[in-house]
Amino acid sequence: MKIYIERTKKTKNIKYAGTAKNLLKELKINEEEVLVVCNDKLVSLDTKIKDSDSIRILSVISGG
Amino acid sequence: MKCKSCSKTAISDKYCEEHFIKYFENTVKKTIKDYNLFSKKDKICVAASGGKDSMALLYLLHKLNYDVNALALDEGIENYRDKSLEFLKKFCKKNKIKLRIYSYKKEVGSTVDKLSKKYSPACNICGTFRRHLLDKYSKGFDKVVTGHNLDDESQAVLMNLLKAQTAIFSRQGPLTKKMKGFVQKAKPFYFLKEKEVMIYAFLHNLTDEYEECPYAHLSFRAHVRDLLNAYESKNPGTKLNIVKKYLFLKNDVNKDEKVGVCSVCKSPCSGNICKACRYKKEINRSL
Repeated sequence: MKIYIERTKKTKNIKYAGTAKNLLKELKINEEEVLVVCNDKLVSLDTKIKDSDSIRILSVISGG
Repeated sequence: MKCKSCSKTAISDKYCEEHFIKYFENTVKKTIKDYNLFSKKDKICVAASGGKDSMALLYLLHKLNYDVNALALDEGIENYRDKSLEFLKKFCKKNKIKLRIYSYKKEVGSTVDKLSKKYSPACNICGTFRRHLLDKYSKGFDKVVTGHNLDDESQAVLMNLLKAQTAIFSRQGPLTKKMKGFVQKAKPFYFLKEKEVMIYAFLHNLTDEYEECPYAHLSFRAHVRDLLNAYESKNPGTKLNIVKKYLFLKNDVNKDEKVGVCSVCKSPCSGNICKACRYKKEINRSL
């Protein structure tokens, strides 16, 4: 799975299938601070994502 | 997960796209009404930066037919503010919203990039001048409206408690109190979480590429924010509880607070000379 993390501007490749919530846990990202976009669509944290999905993790925190 | 109001798939923790937008806009309308923030007759100055909060605010107030103007400040932070201001300029041009931009370089005599070498964390001096310039250039407007959200406000309550700053404690809330020399500040996003503002901005293409202020991580606020986010994720509703309790207690704190006038710039301040003028004096001396 390809994951783009906006805050660090880095892309990670990991093997993952499960909920968006658990993905954030695995990446040690606080769910309060991000939105999860799966295949260009905003999804809720209980959404099940597949290893073939393309994920973007957008930062919610203000830049300043 | 299904939307709580229909059978569509939810995009947030409760709603589908359509019902999230309804919930968000209704919350803003209710805050404006309940706290009498402003009316359609008021001339409104929106404090804008090009970030998601102020973009969502400008978009929504413009959509609701309020008389809005935008005021932005260029602090002089390379590769950060210059990018967000370009995004803001494009939006204002497209929506025919009058935008004024004032720079720290011209107004203060220096940029935050330069000031950060002497003043650390730069957030203190940056914030002092932001408030000073916002007050200075909003004269003539009925209200200044800012994109402060539930996260910002619950952090502020906690920050003031941790620093025992009761004077500032009484000046917060959805609408700042009337004081001679100040245009009242209103916060229509007061009860909406930062995450909710981001969802609204994302759904309306109001977000640009994310850039983080290079000085933000040094601030006391960043530390409080991280603590509060960690607590909120384990105990949902904490942020809302903090501001609700604050609003309940607010009127009992500093009822008799007196505000004087700065002898240099005539802005309201607690001493003889305001903090911005004291900083300006120091900066001019070092130039």
